[in-house]
Formats: sequence, structure tokens, C-alpha cells
Amino acid sequence: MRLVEAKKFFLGCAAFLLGCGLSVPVGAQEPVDALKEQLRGMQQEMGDLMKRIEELERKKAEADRVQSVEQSVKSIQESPSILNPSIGLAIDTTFENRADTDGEFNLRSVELGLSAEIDPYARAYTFITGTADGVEIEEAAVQTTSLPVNVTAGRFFADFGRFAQFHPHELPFVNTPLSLTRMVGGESLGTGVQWRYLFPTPFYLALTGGVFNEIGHGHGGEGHGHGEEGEEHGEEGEEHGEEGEEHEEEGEEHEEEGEEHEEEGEEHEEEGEEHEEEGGEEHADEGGSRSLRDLTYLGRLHAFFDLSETWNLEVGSSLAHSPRTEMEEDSRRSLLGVDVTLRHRPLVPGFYEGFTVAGEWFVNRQDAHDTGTTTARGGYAYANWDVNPELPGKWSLGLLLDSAPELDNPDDTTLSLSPYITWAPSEFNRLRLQYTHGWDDVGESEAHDGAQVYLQWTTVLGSHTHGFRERR
Amino acid sequence: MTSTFTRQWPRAAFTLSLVLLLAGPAAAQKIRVVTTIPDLADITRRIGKERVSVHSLTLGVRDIHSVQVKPSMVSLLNRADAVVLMGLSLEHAFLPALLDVAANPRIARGGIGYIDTSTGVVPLKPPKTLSRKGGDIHPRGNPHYNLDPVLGKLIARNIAEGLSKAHGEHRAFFMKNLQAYTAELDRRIPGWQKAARGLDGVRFVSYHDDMAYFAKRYGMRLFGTLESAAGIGPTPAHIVQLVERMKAARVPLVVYGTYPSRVPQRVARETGAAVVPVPLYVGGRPGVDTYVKLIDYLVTHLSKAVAR
Ligand SMILES: [Zn+2]
Repeated sequence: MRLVEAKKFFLGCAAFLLGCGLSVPVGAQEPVDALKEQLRGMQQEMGDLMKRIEELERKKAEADRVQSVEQSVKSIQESPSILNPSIGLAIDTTFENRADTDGEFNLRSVELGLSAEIDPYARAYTFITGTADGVEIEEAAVQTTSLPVNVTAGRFFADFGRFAQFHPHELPFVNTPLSLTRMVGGESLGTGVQWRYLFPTPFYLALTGGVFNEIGHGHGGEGHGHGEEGEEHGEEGEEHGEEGEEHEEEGEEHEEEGEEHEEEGEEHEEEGEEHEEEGGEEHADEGGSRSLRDLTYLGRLHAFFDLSETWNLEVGSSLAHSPRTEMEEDSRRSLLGVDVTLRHRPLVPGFYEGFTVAGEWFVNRQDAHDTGTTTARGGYAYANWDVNPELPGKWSLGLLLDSAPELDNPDDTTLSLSPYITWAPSEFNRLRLQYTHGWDDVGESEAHDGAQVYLQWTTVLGSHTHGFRERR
Repeated sequence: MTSTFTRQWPRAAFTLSLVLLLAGPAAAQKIRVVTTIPDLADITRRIGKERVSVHSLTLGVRDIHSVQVKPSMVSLLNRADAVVLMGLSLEHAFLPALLDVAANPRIARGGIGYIDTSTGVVPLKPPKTLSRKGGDIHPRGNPHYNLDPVLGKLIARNIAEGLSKAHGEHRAFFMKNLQAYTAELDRRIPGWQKAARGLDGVRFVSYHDDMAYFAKRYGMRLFGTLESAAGIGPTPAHIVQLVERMKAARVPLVVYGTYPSRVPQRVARETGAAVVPVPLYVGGRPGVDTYVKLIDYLVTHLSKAVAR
């Protein structure tokens, strides 16, 4: 319809111009009459044109209205989260065979994720995780979307290192590397506030700062970090199918730690407070009398470089500092992490689809008055090849190396080597087979020693956003 | 050595900060547009000319359905005045995650600089059920509409309208350029139609269903895909069956875009069909550096392959 109208309009214009052109020679014979005639003609044409323009404007307005309705319908379809939060459920199951078990099935976790935009300025998300230990609100946070500085507040994975910010089922291998578990506590979970500033540099450079009650497990200003640590190790223990033992192990460690620091008598005033709080070990975050020194401070500098169209390099350095780790004691803890990720993705697709080599190295320093400084170093590195055998789904092969010291006895280290293969029939369905060989110096537990075989099946129901945090 | 470095260091730091300070205002003079695919970048440049600086997040050789999320993309989006996208969930793999962290309200969904070029596009093959059984990457119908040059005009119009909304002071300029670009496409479309006459009625097999709009425009008929479902790779059983059916129906053409060549080459060999690696986006093949050249390439190469 509109096209036809436009044509008519142009025809009208052409007729008008033609009329003007023809009237010139006529006008040469009888100038005044001809001019009058011409003017009348022009008026007539102008009137017609005005009508046509009005007509067109009306139609245009109509079309715009239709288009804007179309657009709003589309935007609702596109982003159901305006009306409802997007909901996803991830189920992570394993079959494990290790020296200390003769094979067992595990429902490792069921994770319910909800997220939605609150208003133009913020979004919120939560992950509620069910494990054999019960149901826990793993993350619940609000994040600004429109400030020049990204602010996140609530309970969430602090921006420490790389894989500490992944939900375990998002990792490229079956288990959280033991070094990460021992150094950070597996996940860098913390309750607090964090802000990230993006420098206006030609490459990606971001600086994160944050203040938390604690980060991960045991890295924080509360003795009950341990309460939580126990809990989380329960999770971890469950991963290895040996909850009880792990708990005991951890328990022992902390008793030892406690002994180490008990004699110490500085800062009496604060000690009083701390003892009061001790009763509520499980509820670290509810402690009303937290002094600034009880908090954990986080800093992270993170850069990304596109080396070429196919290569990129990501480097980060994180520091978490707790001026006082035990409520009862005056001991400090600093955890430094360095992470490097090098990726390649070829331009011409073929069997070889890409390669990632990455690692994280941690240095943990604990200062206590009686034992002095204990420094533990450990980390992991892995290489991952994406291949395309032109079979259904995505395939990848990898190898993980892990060196995990005990924080309190850094000479006791658990080493492991794990080749694995992953097959994801679709984005929402993934199978992984992993072999792990462990050399456990710690000796008291066989959980990490010898040959272990894992088969993991992870599925996602509902929405599954490819978060920036979990990118490979 | 160390002392030289120590002395040089403050100077280097000073220079760096100076460069950073100057880089801001220099770039600020132009409207900074980030597009998801190079096609949109090319068209945006034709509309915005010297008044825009344009970056594409992806390369034309990449599979749009599995683009990697990179932090460098966040930096681009953080400073962008506008983001131009195809929509219809084509950029599902990377754009939503990036917009979440870009901290830029101008280009957030619904923001003034959020330009979705699918406005007015009626998607082909809308999903019949809301289930992932048929694959999971075209949830809102086929999103590969950039390969229809008539829709190319619509893309250009949507970009011009979008840019004008946020930068009304340049409206006349954008509209003039839109007119010129539309006129150029209008001049070429009949030529392409003529050149593609040989494609009318031709049945073909495609790796992924990414040629749907091109096929519809020039009368080609999709016989099947090498993928067993959208986003799910080719299964051996599916390929065996497809080859049998192709032989029986004498399907003359196999095309593949951003996917590996092994299976399409093999299927073509076994069925005697011609096989053509096609660019799906600007930059998808060497020399295809504009949208016009992209359509040109497809029309010429496919016609040539079918004529043999
Ligand atoms: Zn597609």
C-alpha cells in the first residue's frame, strides 16, 4: 500500500514538473494569462500534493504505531525476565571408583538458578544448591548494570582468581582441583560487597576491590570460618565420597590450629567480644560485633589481550587479606593468586577446534605469634583441546595437573594427574570421563591417593545463560 | 641495567597515562558503534560514514552460534554509543552475557543505543513447539536473514532509524546515506535476480540451516541439512540416510558455511553433487569485504556450481 502511495506521489511530482516545463513556451505568447493559468495550475497541484502528503503522514503514523506494537511484543518475547525471572536447574551426578570405595553413585548437586533484571539499573540472581548435606543458598546477589562501576552486593563468588568463581559443574574437569579447595576453599564464596572498575584502555583492564566477611572457606575474620569450612568440606568430601573422613581431617587441623594460638594473649578487649561470638559458630555472618579487622579485603587486577585473531591471553592477579583470621587470635592471613590463560581458536574449522592452556598459582601466608609465618604454595595447570570429529555434540580432551599443599603443613602435598574426555551432545547435556592418579603425602587419608575413575553427567533444565564469569 | 629501568619507569608511566587521556577525547568525536557481525558493521559504515567508528565483535569466518565471550568485547561495549545486532537469538551465545557486564545503560536491552535490525523481519521456520527436541539454537525461528538482499535494505533502514533516535542531530545525514545505500541495493537486486535464475528450483543440502533466506529469495529448495538437528552435529546414521536420499533425488548441490569441510566434501563425492564453501557473513571468504560483495559472491559462485 505504502509503495503504491509513494509511486503516486512521485507521478504527481513528475506531472507537476512537466506542467511547469510545458507552460513556458505557452507563456511566451500571452505572458499574463499564461502566468495566471500557471499559478492556478500550481495551486491545484499544491493542493493535491498537500493532500497526498497528509495522507502519507497519516499512513506513516499508522505504520509506526504498528511497528512499535510489533517491537514491544518482540521485546517481551525476547526477554521473559521482565515478567518472570529466568529459571534454570542444573543436575550434577557422578559415578566414582577410588581406592577407598568400590564404586558409588553420587548426586553431587542440584542447583536452581534464578535471575532477572530488577529495573534499568540492576539485576539480581540467586543459586540455591541442594547437596547430600542439605539445601543452601549458595549465591544471592544484586548487581548494578548501569553504573560506570559494576557493584555487586550480597552473597556471591568473589572475584578471586579464575576457577574459584565457577560453580563446580561448570569446570572443564570433574572435580575442583584440590589446590583450589585447600587454598581458597573451592569456591570464592563470600558475603560482602565488591566493585569492578574497567579502565578506558584499548585492551581489557579491570580492577576489582571488595570487602567480605570472608572469602572461600576459612579465609576470613572469623573463627567460625571453620564452621563453614567444615560444611563446605562436607561438600567436597561428598565429591570424593568420603564425607566423614574429610570432616574429621579438617576438624583435627583446626583443633591443632586452635592449640597453636590459644596461649596467645594479646588484644584482650577484642577477645572478649570474640568469645561471645564463639557460641554462634554456624552463624558467622550474623555476628553483630564485627570490627573492621575481622573482614577480608579483596583486590584483583585482570587483563585480557587479543594477541591476534586466533590467540588471546588473559592474566590476573588477586590478593585476599584478612588482618585477623581467628577471632580468638591475632593471626593474619594473606592469599595471593596468579592466573594465566592462553587460548587459541583456529580460523579454519576442522578436526582441531581450539586449545586452552591455563593455570593458577597460589601463595598462602599465615602469621601467628607462636608458630610464626607459615607459607604454603600450590596450584594447578591444565590443557584442553576442543576437537570436532564431526559427530553429534562438542568434544574435548584435557589433562589436569594439581599440586595441593596442606595450609598448616606446607610440606605435605598432594599431587595428582588427571586426563579427561568430555562429550556434550548439546549445550544442556554433558558427559565426562576422568581418570585421576594421586600421590598423597598427607598419609592419613587415602581419599586422594592412587587410581580414581570418575564418570560425570551434568544436565541443565530451563534457561542456561552463558555468563561472563563462567566463560571458558 | 636495573637503575636505567627504574629511571625510565616513571616516564613510561607518564606517557602511558597521557596516551590514555588523549585516546578518550579523540575517539569521543565519533559515534562509537559495536556490531555483532561484520555485515552490520559494513552497512553501519555506509549509513554513518565518517561520523561513526564501527567495530564488529565477530569475524565472518566464525560460527555465530558458538562465539567465545571475550573480555575485550566488554571493553568495546562499555564505551559504545550503540550496539547493532541481528536479534532473533542469533547472538545468544555471547551478547546477553556481555551486556550483563558492560555497565553501559545506553546499549542495555531497551536502551536508546540498542539497535535490533530484525524489526520488521518475519522469521522463517518459526518453532512449532517450545521444546528443545528439534535442536536448541533457533528458538525464535531462523535468524540468518542477512543473506536476503531485500532484507538487507530493511537492515539498513533499521540501523539508520536506530542511529537517528539516539543522535537526532545527524538524522538528515543518516537518512541521505540510507537513501543512497538503498538505491545501490535497488540497482543491484534485479541484476542478482537475473544472475540467479539458474538457482530457481534447485534443491540443495546445507551443513546448517543458514541459507534459508537466500534460498527463499532465489527459489532454491533445502533438501536437508548435514546436521541432524539445528546445532547438533552430523550423526553417521543421518549422513548415510541423507546420502541415499540425495542419490535417489539427484540433489545437485552441497553448501557449507563456517563448518569443517570433511563431511560436506565426502557427501558431495558420494552423491556426485557440487560442493561450495559459502561465506555466511562479510569476511566469510577472502575478498568478500562488503555486504554487496557477499551477495555477489553467493549468487555468482552458486550459479556457477549449479551450471556445471
Ligand atoms: Zn543458525
